[in-house]
Amino acid sequence: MKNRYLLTGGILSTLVTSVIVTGYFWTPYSTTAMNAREKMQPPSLSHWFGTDNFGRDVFSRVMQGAGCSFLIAVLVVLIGCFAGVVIGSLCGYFGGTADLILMRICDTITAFPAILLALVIISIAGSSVSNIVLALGILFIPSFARVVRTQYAGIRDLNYIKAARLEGVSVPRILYAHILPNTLPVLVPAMTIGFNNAVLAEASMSFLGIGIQPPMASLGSMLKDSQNYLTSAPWYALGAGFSIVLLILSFSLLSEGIQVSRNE
Amino acid sequence: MNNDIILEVNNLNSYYEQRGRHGRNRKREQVLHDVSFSIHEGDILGLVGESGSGKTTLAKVLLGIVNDYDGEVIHHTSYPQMVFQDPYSSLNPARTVRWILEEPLRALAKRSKEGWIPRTKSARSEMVRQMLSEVGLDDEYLDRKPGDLSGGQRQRISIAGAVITRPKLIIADEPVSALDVTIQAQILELMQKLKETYSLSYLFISHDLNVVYQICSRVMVMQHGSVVESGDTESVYNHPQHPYTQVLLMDAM
Repeated sequence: MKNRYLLTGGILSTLVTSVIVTGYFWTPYSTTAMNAREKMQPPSLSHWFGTDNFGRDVFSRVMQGAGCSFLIAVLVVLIGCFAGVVIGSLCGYFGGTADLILMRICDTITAFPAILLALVIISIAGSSVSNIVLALGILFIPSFARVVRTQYAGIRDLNYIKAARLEGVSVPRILYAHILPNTLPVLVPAMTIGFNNAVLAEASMSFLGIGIQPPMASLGSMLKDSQNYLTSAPWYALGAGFSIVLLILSFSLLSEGIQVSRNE
Repeated sequence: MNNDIILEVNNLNSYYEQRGRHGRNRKREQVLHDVSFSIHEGDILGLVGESGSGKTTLAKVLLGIVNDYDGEVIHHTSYPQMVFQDPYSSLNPARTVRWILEEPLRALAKRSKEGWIPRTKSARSEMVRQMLSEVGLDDEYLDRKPGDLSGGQRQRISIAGAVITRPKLIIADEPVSALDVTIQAQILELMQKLKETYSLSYLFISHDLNVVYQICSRVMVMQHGSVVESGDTESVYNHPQHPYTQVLLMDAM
């Protein structure tokens, strides 16, 4: 049977990624230069997504904003995943009191809404791209740690791990060369879900005004700015909103497709 | 006189601690009672008894997994290796056969200085190839993962992984009871062959008395954690002394 998830996900994410990567080097128009004469133009051949209240090309800003969101989300997932794997693997493999304490800390962090905690951290540390990445990264650790811990706690008692111990394989090697590859079927989907959540979290933070600061473009802050022009320039909100949906949808479909093809 | 003894166990008592939540309500139960035996080079010692008789606990003590015991366990050679019953959980499903067989050599190279241990990638690869052919599998299996292999093939890989570190003693816990009867015979034959090639000894744990009769030179019968009878396979099977042995043999007929 044809794997339609993989096909559409692959095509969409390739498209999205190539637009984003292009956006790092080149955009059709400047993302910051204002142009009073071209204000609030509806979508046309020269401005695909129209222009905003300052006459800036929405498509160019979407390209840059999506690039920014993408980069932040990737970094957040990498931080959360790396720390989550380290904590989860040690907790799951050794268990005991330290495991109990660390997992309760994770529970405590997850009990608060992530955005609220990010808001607190940003208002203390100040708003910058690196602080946003760090704050979200820390908040994403518990979800990874819990997933990884469950895997390790199950696998550590299997015979092939017992055999590795008898062969005198070192503990770090058992943790990361023997067990880790077996957690990938669970870890990879967790990373794509984490990526989606990170894109949404960054967009929400920028929407609330504590994320990416102007004049830098971000999908969330564009949504916020477009609120005032919903009736006069709906393309502004649509351009930004549609991009968030496309970004998340493409990678979700891709990961779904990878899952399906693994199970076949 | 005793230079061919590879394992000696004297007056071994072992305990199992049942732990309640957070270490409360501990109960320490004795699992093995005054077990004494020895394994000589070239022995295939069969260990029989019903489940719960302490066979696996004994294996765990010998392997150093269970430490709560008193009495003497003397290894006259390197630590024994283990072959497990279930060939489906004894091989890492995420790794290739090549990796699974190279890994014990890598670990060994780190902690031992013996000359035969391959220390380069190509030497390891060569040894793995040779071991694989000795357990009756050709090179095309090197890059397969355990998921692509049958139960018998997996058990061959497990045995190869245990033998490749050149132990003197292999503890095999029900190595064939998860396999079809025809495959069982092939694996037993393979174990016999490897015993000759590598001058191995086996502690062969099984509940199947027919299998034990086929392969073991000596046999030891356990009940409720004690050895109730032991001796040459022929004499134990022909003239069982203990009533429990007689019942086991009656059931197996």
